[in-house]
Amino acid sequence: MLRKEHSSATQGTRRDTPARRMPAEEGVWVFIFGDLLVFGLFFLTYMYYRGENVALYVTSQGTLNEIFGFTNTLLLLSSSLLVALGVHAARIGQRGAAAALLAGAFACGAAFGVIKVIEYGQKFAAGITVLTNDFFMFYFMLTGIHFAHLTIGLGVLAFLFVTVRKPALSPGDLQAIEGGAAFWHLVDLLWVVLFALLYLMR
Amino acid sequence: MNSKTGQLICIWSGPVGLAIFGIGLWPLAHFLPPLMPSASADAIAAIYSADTLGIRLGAMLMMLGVSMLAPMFGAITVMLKRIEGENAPYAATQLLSAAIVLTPLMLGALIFTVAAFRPERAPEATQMLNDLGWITLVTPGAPFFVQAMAIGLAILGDKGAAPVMPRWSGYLTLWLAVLALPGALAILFKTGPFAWNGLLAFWLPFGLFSGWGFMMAFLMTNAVKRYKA
Repeated sequence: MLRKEHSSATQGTRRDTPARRMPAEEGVWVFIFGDLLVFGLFFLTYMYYRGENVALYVTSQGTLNEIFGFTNTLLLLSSSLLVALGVHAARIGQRGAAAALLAGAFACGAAFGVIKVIEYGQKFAAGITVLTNDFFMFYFMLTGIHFAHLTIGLGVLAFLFVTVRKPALSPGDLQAIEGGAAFWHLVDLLWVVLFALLYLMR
Repeated sequence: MNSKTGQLICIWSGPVGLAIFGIGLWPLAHFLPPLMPSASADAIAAIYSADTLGIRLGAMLMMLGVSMLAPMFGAITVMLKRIEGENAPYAATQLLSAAIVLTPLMLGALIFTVAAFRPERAPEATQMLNDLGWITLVTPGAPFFVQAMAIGLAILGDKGAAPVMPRWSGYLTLWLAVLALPGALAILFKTGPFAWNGLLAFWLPFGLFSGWGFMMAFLMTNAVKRYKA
């Protein structure tokens, strides 16, 4: 999910040396890899507990709304594409296009949120909560924590939208945009794995 | 004694406090791994009976250890003030939320001493006190979330020519802030990774917080040494 465009940044920015530079500020990657590590731990924990009770997990998984899950995956993948295009546009100075692309990404993310709320609502209406059984504990916990990340990511996208509409973008601004974009890609990546684990894996 | 010495003393009080807390928690109280939330009242009462002295002494050391975290948080406040200058909302936030972080840690340990004080109580009473102690100790993650957010944002907002703390430590602290929150989920579960003895509600937050404390001590020591008043 960490697209190549991010590392071949040199074409768009005049200030950097011809040598490759890492997109975004270094510290952002500390955060991102830390988050990946922790979610990796979550996923391993899920796999461990699932291994102890596969039948329960498969049965419970059968009640998940796959259409919602699939649509959400499409939404996030699309939003990541829009973000990547937006970063590229910002790099080559097309701030108007960048703003529109980021707004599109935000809309996709917001739609994901709406679907998630509806999905949770369906579960609650059926009497299913985080306490129902182990599978649903993980389902609500993992998608819930992801949802929190998504919400933060929406805030970040909004910040990027505002940033990119400034009259001129400094190298610091571009770094911030790259950093925010990287975080959004993290949100997308986490969802793809979550979707596979919770919805697809039998 | 110049302020550098004072700052160093305060900074290193933190790691010492963490170590003392650890000694109280484990070799003395035998609370690592934490007692099981799913244990029966009789089982809990038996533990408090058999180990009453160890738990009381261990809890006392835990309270001492927690108290010794205060100077380090004070040193962090001073450092944030150095970064922010005259108007220092992050430093003030950090100071206040640090106090709210330390309080339930103290109370949790205190409650363990009460539980161990009269082991001949009815088992349900002991179990209730044990529940109260662990929930108080483990679930308040929000205060540290706020504290760490303040520290992280302050570090990242350092506009000085020579940043006081390395920027990656700001991002790391922000990451840790978010990880403090799942502890609250321990009120929902008696087994599994989100229970108060679970991987994700106990081991991860407490382990990472300890590591962060040591890391901050080293980084702040460097910052103090480099500081030209």
